[in-house]
Amino acid sequence: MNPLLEVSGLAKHFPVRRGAVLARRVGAVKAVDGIGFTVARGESLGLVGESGCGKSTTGRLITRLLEPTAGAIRYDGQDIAHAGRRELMPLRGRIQMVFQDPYSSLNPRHTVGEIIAAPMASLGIGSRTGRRDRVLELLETVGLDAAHVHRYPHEFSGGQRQRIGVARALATEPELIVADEPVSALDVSIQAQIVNMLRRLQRELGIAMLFIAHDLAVVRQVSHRVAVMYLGRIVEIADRDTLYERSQHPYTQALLSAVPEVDAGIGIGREPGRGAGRERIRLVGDVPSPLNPPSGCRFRTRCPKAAEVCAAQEPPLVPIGGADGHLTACHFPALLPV
Amino acid sequence: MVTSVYDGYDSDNSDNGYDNTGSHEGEEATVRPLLAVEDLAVRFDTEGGTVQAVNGLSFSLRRGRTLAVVGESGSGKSATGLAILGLHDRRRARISGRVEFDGVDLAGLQERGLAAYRGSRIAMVFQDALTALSPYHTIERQLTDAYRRRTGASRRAARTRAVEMLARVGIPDPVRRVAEYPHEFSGGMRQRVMIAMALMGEPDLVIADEPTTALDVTVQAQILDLLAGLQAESDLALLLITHDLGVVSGVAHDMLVMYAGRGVEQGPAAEVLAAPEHPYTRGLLRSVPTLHGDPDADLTPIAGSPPDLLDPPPGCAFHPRCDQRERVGGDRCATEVPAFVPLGDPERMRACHLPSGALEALEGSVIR
Ligand SMILES: Nc1ncnc2c1ncn2[C@@H]1O[C@H](COP(=O)(O)OP(=O)(O)OP(=O)(O)O)[C@@H](O)[C@H]1O
Ligand SMILES: Nc1ncnc2c1ncn2[C@@H]1O[C@H](COP(=O)(O)OP(=O)(O)OP(=O)(O)O)[C@@H](O)[C@H]1O
Ligand code: SF4
Ligand code: SF4
Ligand SMILES: [Mg+2]
Ligand SMILES: [Mg+2]
Repeated sequence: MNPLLEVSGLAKHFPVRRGAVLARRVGAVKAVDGIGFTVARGESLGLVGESGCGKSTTGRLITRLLEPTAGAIRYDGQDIAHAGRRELMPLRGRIQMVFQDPYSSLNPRHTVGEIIAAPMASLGIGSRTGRRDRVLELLETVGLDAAHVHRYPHEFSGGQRQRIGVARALATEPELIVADEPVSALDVSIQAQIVNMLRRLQRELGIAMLFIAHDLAVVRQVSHRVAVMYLGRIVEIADRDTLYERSQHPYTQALLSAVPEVDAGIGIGREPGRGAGRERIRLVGDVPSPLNPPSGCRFRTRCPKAAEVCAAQEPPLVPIGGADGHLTACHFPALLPV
Repeated sequence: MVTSVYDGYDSDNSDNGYDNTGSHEGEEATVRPLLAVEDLAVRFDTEGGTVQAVNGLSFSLRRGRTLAVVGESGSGKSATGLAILGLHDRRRARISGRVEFDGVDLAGLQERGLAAYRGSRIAMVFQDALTALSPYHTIERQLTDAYRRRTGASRRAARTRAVEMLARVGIPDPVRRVAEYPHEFSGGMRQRVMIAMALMGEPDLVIADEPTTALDVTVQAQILDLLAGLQAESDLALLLITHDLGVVSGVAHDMLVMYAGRGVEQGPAAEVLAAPEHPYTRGLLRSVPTLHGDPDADLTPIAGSPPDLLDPPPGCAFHPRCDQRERVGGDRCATEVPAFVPLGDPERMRACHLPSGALEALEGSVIR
């Protein structure tokens, strides 16, 4: 069967202009620079990477809030990369987005009921009363009190507002939800509530999800497969267990080893459950500017294993290891020594 | 050109300057703390009423130690840090209690007296380096202005010191970079500049409010290493405000857990993390997803939402969310504020009506 979503060669370059009167184009931020992946029906793909690597841009391209510079976005077989408003209309209800900031993504002057009903109303789905019933049902689905339907966003806590955002996204019974850092702004105790809810909805409703986050432990809880981005490129993609346990790309390995984890008094630099031997990989320096990415492999300026060939040739994203669908873009892929 | 190193931690980490096992040398316990906060309260008068941001908080911190203050958003962590340095707007915030720094009660000082401490013996590092640095001035200017005013150092001497501090926090090519502007620095480098600024006056105490929250994990790890290294070098006391228990576990000697403006649990970080005695601390620990937990199992959140500080719950502020209140007799949790008292060991404090050891007895190890 065809994947629900198939992205190939996708790129978004933002022009950078200088000069006040006659703005000249002086370059481009290569926010997303030729990426490809698929999402099957009912599947959850996690997208991780450091700030500025192009995660949100990818999400906004797929939901077509942005038009790509190059590449194809095939949704259920149809290329929507350059589709116009009219062509996109029927797809609007099938793909929904959940945003990071539960404060700014809800209109403060609308009641919760109006907010959740808005996507249905704008797509002309259901009658007025039908929509009202659906709103009440959705409030229950996301764990909110139906009696609060007439309240305004400021009367809710951050976690509750994020539930409202999810209810709004579910209103049109979408097949795909693009969730951009949906729990990053929440306290851990509340984050766990929302993560559990997303897991349940994903499972019970069979909704496919592109789950964007920088927190690798959160992504692990909600994704079937995970893609790691660095400076506008995908450097590794694999099923969840392979990625977290048998990653082959030095960047994925560095990311995983940098996650600060609660360690029950064993001592700094050691992880419970991992024995004493888990190596910490310390990267030097910061992510380079996407305006002027390094030649060859973009990770080479921070890569502990970089060699001459890394500056000369960009490593292609190719199958590696034994696992099905495990791709890595590195000239020297290897498992971490145990 | 390759500018990276593969720096494997050795497994016993003997060189990091920390003893995270919770044991303390006997002599240390008798040393007077550098900072002693007693019964601190911070109230804000707002249109909706009075916000009790900090409510009777007490703790102390010794030289060479890191105390992590953790808690959910709005629990009063930043309000505490700002109160120590007298940085609240005195027209809006009402502050009471004692803040004793090296024998002097800072809370009793007027603005002029406090200014002598700020930036010199006590320095603060904020979360958001971009807004804390002025975009219009060079890094040199920002590092040296206050320093020169305070010490009367010459421009040249101040610049030399600024370059030294930039080098110390790991900014490559500091002689050139000191003349640049903040926008020419990445997020991680700006946070290093903030730390360099804090170090200019050779402080005894650094209050770092979420110093790595805005940074990526790989850069966060660098900054935490840097802080730990600086502390080991100069016997710095560090008050680290964070909501990240992973960070606490990595760098703190002691931790103080706050809820709704009060301390609810305190003690050596390793002990508190391994065997929390307060239901809230345990709840926090359980709700954090980890890289080694079961990815197919649901997470364990704390029910409900954080309290409204304009109208906090009576009794124990955590009671509407607490899964243990049935184990306390009668209606005590909802009516009586539990006292923050030592649990045998004077270093280990808690505010809960449950008997000591009750959580432990319930299910042994809580983390794994
Ligand atoms: N509208 C825009 N115009 C110009 N540059 C942009 C625009 N949107 C994003 N960028 C740039 O593109 C790059 C990728 O940004 P993006 O927001 O996709 O990153 P991200 O991975 O979501 O990061 P974060 O984790 O910080 O959210 C960044 O360098 C960003 O500054
Ligand atoms: N200037 C102010 N005026 C009124 N209320 C304030 C002010 N500053 C803080 N508060 C309130 O005091 C309480 C404690 O705030 P504080 O900033 O100390 O929280 P925090 O623990 O640092 O949270 P976060 O993790 O979100 O930074 C909050 O309820 C906050 O809304
Ligand atoms: S290609 Fe070279 S620089 Fe890039 S990740 Fe692999 S080893 Fe490192
Ligand atoms: S005092 Fe009662 S409500 Fe508060 S934490 Fe203890 S058991 Fe829970
Ligand atoms: Mg983003
Ligand atoms: Mg704060």
